[in-house]
Amino acid sequence: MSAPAAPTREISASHRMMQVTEWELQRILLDIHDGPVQHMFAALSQLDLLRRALVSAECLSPEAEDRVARIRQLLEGGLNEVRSFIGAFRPPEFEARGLVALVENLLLQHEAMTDTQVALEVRGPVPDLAVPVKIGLYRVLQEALSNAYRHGGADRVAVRLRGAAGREGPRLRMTVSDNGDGFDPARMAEGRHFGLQGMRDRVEMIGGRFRLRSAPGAGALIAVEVPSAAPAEEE
Amino acid sequence: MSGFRILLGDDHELVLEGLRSLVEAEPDMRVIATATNGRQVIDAVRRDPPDVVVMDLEMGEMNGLRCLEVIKRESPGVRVLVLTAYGDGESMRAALEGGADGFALKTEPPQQTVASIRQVCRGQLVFPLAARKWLLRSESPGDATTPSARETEILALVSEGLTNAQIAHRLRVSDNTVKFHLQNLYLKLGVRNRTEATAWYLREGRARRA
Repeated sequence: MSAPAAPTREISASHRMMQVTEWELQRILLDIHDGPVQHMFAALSQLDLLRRALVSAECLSPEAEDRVARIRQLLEGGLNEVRSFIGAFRPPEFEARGLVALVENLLLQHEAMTDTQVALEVRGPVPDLAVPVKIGLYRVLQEALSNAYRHGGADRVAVRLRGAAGREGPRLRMTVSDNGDGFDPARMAEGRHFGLQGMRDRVEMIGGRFRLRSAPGAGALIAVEVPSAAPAEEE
Repeated sequence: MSGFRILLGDDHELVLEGLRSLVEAEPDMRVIATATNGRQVIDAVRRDPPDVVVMDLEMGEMNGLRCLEVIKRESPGVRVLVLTAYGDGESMRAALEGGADGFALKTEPPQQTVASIRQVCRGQLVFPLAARKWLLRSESPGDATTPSARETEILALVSEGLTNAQIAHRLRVSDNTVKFHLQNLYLKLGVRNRTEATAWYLREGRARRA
């Protein structure tokens, strides 16, 4: 597999940082993909073959059988831990895809991993977005979906994308609402919830606004509005 | 020698070696060739078409998606199981839309891969449930026993003797969309194949449709 191309577009410092982060993430994932995953998969194959050979030679004692089972469990556990990580964080082709296609693919991935359903509604023309804006929205949506599923226990999530006019050019609004347990945002702020803070930071980095509405028992709603282009370079 | 004929393509030698031995240990399958890059996969398929190609999406020389495209164009009878370490939506959707017959993960146990290979050998589509829903999402599924309008439409074309590819072309959908519809139909009607589905249609479906 070829190495990912280094980001070349020069925009603002925060935008560059976002692209570099994605680039580094992709390199880490490639290493995990080419190393541990292939080795663990191959080791499991060999373990199965070893077990078969011992069984057919009639020399697999109950104790050895237990050990084989234990080794298999450990290896499968390792693969399982890697699965959600490399599946979830593999950067898609941000340069080549429009936001709607990126979101559709992310939703398919989320549905396949969690066996839940997400409804997508796209209203009006979605403006062309600068790559860091797409990255920011993608990662915020990913965090929101993950929170809805892992913390909120939601089984229904709705994502809405809407293009809007702004004084300084087109803007994009994205909302993510779920039917999960909800929470008290004030208490989350006290505990400095990294996921929520990360979402807010990302949105601010791309010059957007982040709003969160939730209450215990009432699900959660995240609303993001971002400009389609990069903010001017800070002096 | 009988049994399903498998071609394995993966640029990780360790994976090839393990998988090859596992498949060879199965009584109903045998590995007729292995390849470590996409170009070799294509050459091997052209030389001696297998029943099923099992291949990674990430291979040198020619990547798996390009391979899939060439195989489906040149040898539509050869089935393809994509085996990848990435379960991301982009890979899954590309495999679905490229006409792959299945999508298996290297982060699942290898015995699971062997089971998926066997399912694909038997003509089943092997994708996560979400992928199936995704492909059919704009269409009404109907209820558990009655074919939907779309399914009946496909059944009518099957009974006229059209192939999946011809039906897909006629309805302007992907081959896999047609295959998923047919799988749903077989389940609903309790039939095993096209012949039985056609018989059902000629007996009952046509009357219902009229």
